Amino acid sequence: MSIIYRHMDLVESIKGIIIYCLGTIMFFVAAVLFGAEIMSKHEETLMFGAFVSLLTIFPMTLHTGRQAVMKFMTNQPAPNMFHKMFYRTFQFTIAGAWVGAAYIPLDWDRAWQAWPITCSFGALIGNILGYMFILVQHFVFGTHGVFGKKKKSFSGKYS
Amino acid sequence: MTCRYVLLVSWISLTLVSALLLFSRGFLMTRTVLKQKSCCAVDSVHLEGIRNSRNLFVPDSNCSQKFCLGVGNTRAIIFVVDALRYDFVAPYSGLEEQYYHNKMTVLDDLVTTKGARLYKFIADPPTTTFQRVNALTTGSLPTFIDIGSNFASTEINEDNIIDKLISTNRTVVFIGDDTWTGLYPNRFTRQYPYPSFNVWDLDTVDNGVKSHLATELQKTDWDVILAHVLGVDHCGHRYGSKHPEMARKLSETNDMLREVVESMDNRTVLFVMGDHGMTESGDHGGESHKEVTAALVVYSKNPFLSSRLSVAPEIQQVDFVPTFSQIMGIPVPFSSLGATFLTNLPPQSEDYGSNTHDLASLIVWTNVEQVTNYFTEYARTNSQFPSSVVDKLLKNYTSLLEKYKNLNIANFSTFMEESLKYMNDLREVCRAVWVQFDSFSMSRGLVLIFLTISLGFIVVDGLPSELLHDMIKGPFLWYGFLFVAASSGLCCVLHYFKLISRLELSLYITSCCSSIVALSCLIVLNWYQVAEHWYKLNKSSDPLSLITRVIALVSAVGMFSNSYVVQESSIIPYLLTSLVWVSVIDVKLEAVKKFAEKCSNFSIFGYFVTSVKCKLILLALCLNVILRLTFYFWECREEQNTNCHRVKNISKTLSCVMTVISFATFITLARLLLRNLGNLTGWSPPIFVSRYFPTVNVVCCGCYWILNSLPTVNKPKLFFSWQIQLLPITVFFISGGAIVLLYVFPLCVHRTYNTVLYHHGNLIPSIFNKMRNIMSSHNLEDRTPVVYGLATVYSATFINLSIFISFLSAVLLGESRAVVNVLMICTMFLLAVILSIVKFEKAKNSKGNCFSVPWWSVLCWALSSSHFFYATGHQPTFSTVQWDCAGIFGNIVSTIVPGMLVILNTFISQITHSLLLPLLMIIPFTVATVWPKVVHNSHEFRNGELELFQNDDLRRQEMFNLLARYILFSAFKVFVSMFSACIHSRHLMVWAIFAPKFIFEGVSFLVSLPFLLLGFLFVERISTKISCLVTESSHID
Repeated sequence: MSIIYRHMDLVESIKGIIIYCLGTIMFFVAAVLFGAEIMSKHEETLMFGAFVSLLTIFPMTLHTGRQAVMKFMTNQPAPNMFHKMFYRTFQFTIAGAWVGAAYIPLDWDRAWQAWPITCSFGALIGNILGYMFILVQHFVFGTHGVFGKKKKSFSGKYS
Repeated sequence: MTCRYVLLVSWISLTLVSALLLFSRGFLMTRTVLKQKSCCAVDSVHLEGIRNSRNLFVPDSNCSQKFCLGVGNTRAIIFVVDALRYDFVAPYSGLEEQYYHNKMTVLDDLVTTKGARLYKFIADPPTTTFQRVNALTTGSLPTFIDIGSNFASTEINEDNIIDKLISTNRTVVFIGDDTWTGLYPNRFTRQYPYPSFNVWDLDTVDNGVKSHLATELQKTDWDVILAHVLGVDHCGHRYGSKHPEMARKLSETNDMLREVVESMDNRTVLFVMGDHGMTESGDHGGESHKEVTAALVVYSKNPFLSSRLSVAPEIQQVDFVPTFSQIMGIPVPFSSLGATFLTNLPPQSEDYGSNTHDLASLIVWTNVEQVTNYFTEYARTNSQFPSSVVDKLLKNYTSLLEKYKNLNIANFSTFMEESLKYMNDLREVCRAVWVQFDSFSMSRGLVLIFLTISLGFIVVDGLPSELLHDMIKGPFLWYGFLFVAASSGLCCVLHYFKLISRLELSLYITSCCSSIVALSCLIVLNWYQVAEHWYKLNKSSDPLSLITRVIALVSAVGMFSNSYVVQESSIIPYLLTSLVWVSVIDVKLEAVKKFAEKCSNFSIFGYFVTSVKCKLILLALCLNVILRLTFYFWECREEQNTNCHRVKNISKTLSCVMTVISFATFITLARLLLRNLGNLTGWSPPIFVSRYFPTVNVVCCGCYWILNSLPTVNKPKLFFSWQIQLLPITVFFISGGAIVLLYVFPLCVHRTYNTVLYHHGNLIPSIFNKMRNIMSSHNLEDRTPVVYGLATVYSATFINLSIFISFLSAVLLGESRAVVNVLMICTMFLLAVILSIVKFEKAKNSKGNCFSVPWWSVLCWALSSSHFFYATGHQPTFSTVQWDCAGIFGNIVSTIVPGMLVILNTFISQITHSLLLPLLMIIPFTVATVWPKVVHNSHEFRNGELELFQNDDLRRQEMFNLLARYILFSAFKVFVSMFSACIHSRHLMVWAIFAPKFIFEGVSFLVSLPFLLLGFLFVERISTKISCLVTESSHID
């Protein structure tokens, strides 16, 4: 919690919000480019963009600051485990949303097959899987073992 | 050497094609629709006539039928219950009673107490409603493709009972499934059609039928009522046959029938029938016992003709047509193949009893004559039947004729049996040709195409290309050809000695098998190298190749699902976009690692903006926006009903102006590009063509579109129709001529002998040289040639080619869709540029790798080609084929030219993509010379596209590899569509979705093969011409 408090100053949070909005727009444009309808369903698409941005960009700005987002967007390697986690979840979330689109064209005639629902759900599942993946990778295969030790190193870095 | 590569490519593709043809022979049964109509020479036969009927042969052979029997005032109610299986009606007393048993109590009652007759009504496959309704009215065996029928609409123009009824002034009322009104538009006096498409809707059609049937039955003006209820069929599709809903639907139908039976009068005949059955799971379409066994109940308050004639429990569906015709007193439709069912005929008059035999034999004989007439007519115009079979049947016919002439009571029953057997035999012959899936050819075709694809994959992907090159240099190719030729020759010899009956089939199989044997010999002999090569490849795998595999698999496996085939238009660009973005994002920013520590955040951002990756992302964004724009040119197919929104309200003038403007911009840009590359200097023929002809083309196209969109009232005042047709013909011939000319003179370069040489990068020596030349006047004759545009010699030709191709297709596609062409060409060039930059990033520091085209580039190209198939307003259904393009040259009598135009129009995207496939290999070198910033080691590519010319062997190898990869991927798609059509041959949608998909994939594969070879030949032609140029120049020196 101490990390969050530390970043709770006004300018920083406004910048975070701006980055969040930019992320929303980015995902909106991406969804349209991938074939989402722009005329009739722009509201849904915008909501989808906001949702995915909330899953990916928002935690990044919240926990590691906007600079991490910049670093990620300019394709730089993750400096530490904590950044790596967000990178990984970002990839998993996008992959989940990508796979979620597979349900839309099927002729099952279900209400939940409407456009952003399956993709949002896929993104959510991908997000969760991403966290699980990084957790398993870290605690089963990782070199650093214990939870407390890791946390300490983080707070040490940011204080 | 070039010749050998062409031979190898054509060998592989011919093997694939023959496997494809083998499969389609088994899968696609075709039948020609004959347009003749039947008629009666003598309208009604009196009993006196029947007595002497054997002497009553009418010599006039214009009519297919001599007599039409029947009582003029008979009325009929045909009540079709879709998918009414036999055991839904037949009484059941067993222990395992299902929901569908014993629900049709009214029919049961009629059969047991009132003399109605219940039959097993055997339908012919394909057991789909569309084909069954066709068979129930024409009496023939409709196949999926009835040649000669109209593709654009579903209207039946073969002879049929509905037309016959109307021509004899009967009133026909129709209620129910709208399939009928699609087949017979504007025929019914009153019609109440209901939509049949939504199989989840169990009640709309039935309720409609129920309400209208009651009022219609009250009226007296009708002669025939046709009612078609769908509830049972839809219930089967939705829930399967063993479901409480089925009991409800059957009971409702039963109630409807009760009303009908109660209101019938003495001269009405009731037919209750199922058009096909269903499996236990409720599907139909195939030929299993449960699907083909429908029920038929015939009831009349009058007793039927005779109970002395034996009642068979089973009749064929096609038998309905002649029986119905005899009852109603209309001629049997010309192409009917059924046998009249005597036990359902009403009596001719009160004292028919003594004449039963005469009447029966007469009816049977007219039937035999009618069927024979049709069969001989068909065999005369068409060579589908083997001649030995035709001769045998005709011999039987003559012997029957003898028997009929000497008919008496004693041999009556043998005559009847023999004529029934004769008609049965004849129908079986037709059925073997028209109806049955030939599982032999299908399975062989599938196996052979699979083997060829996999062996071809091993040869292309597994064999190191140097080894392949050595192999092609050596005698292997000749041995292989010799082997194939020898086996085919053996086949012909065996056929000559009558040891093989079906030559075509056995030729397909032997040529395929021998090619497969030859290829597998090659692989087995070089297995060690293949294994080694793959092992190396495996070690250096990257995420992009994995994702390529996933996307290739998804795009192929999707064809097994009907909804993916229906929505493929939006799935292909989705996959293409994903692949492009993955390949772009996969590119690493090399220098950032070092950068990151030192610099601040902002300068990293600045670095990113100037990096190659940022440029790549911008290019990909451009490409993506273009792809997204093409979505607005989609055409919807019927099944997409809710998910497809077309933008319709663009005025014709606006689209016309937009198209002309975009074309003008396009050629202006292309000209600017060519000029800057130096390929527009001088006056050699190709340069002249590329300088002026596009402008002429744009003017002609624009004039044509604008004049064509004038209101039809004013048009004839201004000009004749041939004058306006002159414009597209001009465009066509200019473009076609330009392409031929480009093949003959492919080099868009200009050669001069300049005394001044500008050395690249070394200014001082060149100035010195010039100074020296000026000072020493005796050395003026420096004959060193200067060639303009040599660095982009390949791409210049291909740019010109693409311009002319786009004009050809613009004329074909018409003004509203021609913009897509410009977008398509832009997409292709952008894609090639993006892929080449990514390739340079991947293949760092090794120049040799830049020749080979990786799988993901090929996949992108293939996806793009299928995307633009949809974007040019096509869908894999026959109803969306743009038939109007066949008429751009006016009315041409032959079918070949309009047919070619339609095929060109439909597959223009595949054609363009396969012709311009070499771009994937050429563009990297163009990029390296034109835009050296994005290439790391650009100094290695100073020669530009001349690298391609200099590395002769490498170029041919990799060109072959590229072609083979593209062909193999297309063939793989064809294989998957074949496979899905094969597995889904029982599926409800097989004839609506899977079979058309297979046909479109197959035809696009066949069409693209020659253009692929043409593209390859273009590259080789340019290379030989360059070598001519080089030797010429050095000779002069």
